[in-house]
Amino acid sequence: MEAAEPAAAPVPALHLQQLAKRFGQKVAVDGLTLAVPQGSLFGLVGPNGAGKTTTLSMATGLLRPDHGAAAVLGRDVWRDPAAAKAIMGVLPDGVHLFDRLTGAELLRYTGLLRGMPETDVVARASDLLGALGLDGTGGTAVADYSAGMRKKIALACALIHAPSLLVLDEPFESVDPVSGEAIRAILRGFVASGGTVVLSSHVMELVESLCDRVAVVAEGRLLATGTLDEVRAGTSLQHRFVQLVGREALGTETLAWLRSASR
Amino acid sequence: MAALCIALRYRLLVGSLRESPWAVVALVLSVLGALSLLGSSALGAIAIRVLVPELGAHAAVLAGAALTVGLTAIAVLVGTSDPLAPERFSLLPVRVPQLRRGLLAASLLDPWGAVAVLAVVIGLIVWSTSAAALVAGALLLPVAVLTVLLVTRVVADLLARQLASRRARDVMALLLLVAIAGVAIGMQSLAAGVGELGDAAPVVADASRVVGWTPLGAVFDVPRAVAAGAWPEAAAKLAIALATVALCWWAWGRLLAERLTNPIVLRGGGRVREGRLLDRLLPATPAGAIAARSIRYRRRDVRHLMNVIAVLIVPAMIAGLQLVAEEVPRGPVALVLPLLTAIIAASMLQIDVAYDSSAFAWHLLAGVRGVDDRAGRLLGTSVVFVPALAITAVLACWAAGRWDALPASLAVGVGTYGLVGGALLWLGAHLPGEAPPPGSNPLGRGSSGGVQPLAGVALSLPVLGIAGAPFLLPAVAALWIPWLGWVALAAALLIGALASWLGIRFGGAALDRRGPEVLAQVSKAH
Repeated sequence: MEAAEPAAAPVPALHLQQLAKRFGQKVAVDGLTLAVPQGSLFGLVGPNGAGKTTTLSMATGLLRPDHGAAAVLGRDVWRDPAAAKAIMGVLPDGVHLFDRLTGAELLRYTGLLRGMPETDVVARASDLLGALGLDGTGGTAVADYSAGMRKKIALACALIHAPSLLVLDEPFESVDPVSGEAIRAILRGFVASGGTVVLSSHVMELVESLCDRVAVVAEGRLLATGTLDEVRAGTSLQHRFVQLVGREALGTETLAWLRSASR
Repeated sequence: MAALCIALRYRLLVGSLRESPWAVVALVLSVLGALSLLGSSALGAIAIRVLVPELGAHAAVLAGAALTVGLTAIAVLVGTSDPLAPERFSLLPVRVPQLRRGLLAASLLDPWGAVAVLAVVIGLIVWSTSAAALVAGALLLPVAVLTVLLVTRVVADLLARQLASRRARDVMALLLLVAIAGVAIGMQSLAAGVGELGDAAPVVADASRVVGWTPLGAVFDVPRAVAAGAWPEAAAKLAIALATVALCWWAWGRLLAERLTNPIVLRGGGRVREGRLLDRLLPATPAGAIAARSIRYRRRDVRHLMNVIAVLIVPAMIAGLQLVAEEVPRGPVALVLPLLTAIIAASMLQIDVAYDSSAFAWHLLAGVRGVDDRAGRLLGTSVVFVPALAITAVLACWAAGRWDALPASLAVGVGTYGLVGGALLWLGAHLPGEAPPPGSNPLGRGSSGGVQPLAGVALSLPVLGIAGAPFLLPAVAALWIPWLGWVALAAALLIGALASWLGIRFGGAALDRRGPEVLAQVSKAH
């Protein structure tokens, strides 16, 4: 496990230190430490309920951690939220949008909330709508978008202020293959120009094809992190993931009734 | 199936109570409300039984029909948030007859079903004038309960598909406003007519003779016919009652079958007009953007539209009262009505974040400063409600026949709104309340959302009494010394502005500190 960068290295784009959160009796995140180097396309993978969304919520200022710290390019998310939030773009998962606005209105709203000048907001909003294939949706409230379109407009909201770090929770969920390719191209271009992306997913093939670094979390703990090749250690990410998370393959006796001719 | 449905209904209730202590408070309040409603009905029935026993059977017919209509109206309005909506069973291999029995059993134990059963039992009081009527009434209890419940279900389910569109829900909301104004007029007329109860008796009897032949009233008129020995009439009415139940039972089955295979989906808005005017009028700053969004939401989000209507109900009722005005001095009306409207309007500020639900996360992610959030919400809400307050003041003075009280009336409205609004801007960062989730029925969770705002109003009343004295006292005095109204207005503008500024300042600071906690509270209601 590789927890911290050497002292000479530049400050990490996202640095989580001993983050912990418990809900009642359930420990959601258990002392998670993680450093995401600048310029990486970082995949956070884990089974359902591993604490990915909880971790990202604490890293982006949506959920106050019980313990630990999160910093974006050296700016502490909880001590100096304004500085950290200004350089971070976030696509949260399972969060409503202001969905009675149209796509263009929502982008304008998000840009103005960030204190951007109006002319920039309007110009960038139409660029983003075009790039994500959402032009021609004027007059349609976001509430009437499909799930994939909603994901795309939320991504546009995360991008509008040209952040240095992008934190994306399940960005490809319910997005069609064509839009998915457009989003990948946007993310690759963003990283190539010096930005950093952290995305969570439980589709291993997607992470394998897109990310250069990964971290595997389960039950709120970090199981492995490093470059893609370090983590998958000569096998496929899927195989390594199952090994790490430690689920046995289903025996022949499991769900026997489903296989029998009882139907 | 019946046992399963009842158990499910009960578990859903327990689950919602576990989720939040406020839900327990809301449940207690609604039980108390229902008990007081039933209690006063029982007292009314006893009074009629003692004072005008010959009128009792007629009143029972009208009351029974009114009960059915009232419960139907409630079921239509809250229908889309029914926890046992037939759609939820559409993936299960249930047949309609099973489901119909199960849902009927569950609706008997539903709060409204329980009210129906108890209300029908109260009817026995007025039939106790004759043994025959009492026995007939007791025997017909199941038929009466079935009539009330089945008519309610069938009408609500018939309309549910039409009401799934946003436009239809908007229209329903407006109808509700008109209906409430109408009820206010009706109450006023009734209050005026209490003195002439003797004159009312023939009207009640005539009305009940007509209603007694309708499907809604027939079952409630059988005991009277039996007691009078009018056997053919009793038999005919019994036939109507039984036919009504049978027809509804069959129709409900058809409707359930339809909904199991073709579920009703709440439809969104259709096309939205992207007006640029608002964006030009309001500054392109975080606070300006929040205000513009707030104003757009008043029109586009039916939950906010319902709140605007709730605020407008008071002036609508005044208009209704004025139409049946009598020669009574109503000077205080000119001050009390703007006060009420202002408090209701101000309480919207406390729960405004709750209506954003988890979308409030975008404010946190964008790093919006608390003061911008508070100022934007106050500005957006005021653009809608301050004109409403002005209209209320004008209507109140018109109703009171006291145009000289207009400055005082405006002072009470605007000053109270600014003062209580400022206090609630601060309180809203601590107790943001609950709201129906976006896209759901605006009346669905209204009752549990109503508790924290009630606490907010209760807490802000002492503030109003103390800090509001400089404009409230001259406003009251202005009823006798009119020029004091202008003093009140000046004081109200000053104090209202100051309190709003303090609310923005301290509410904003509280929101900066507590943002993630507020988000957790308002996004619980998924």
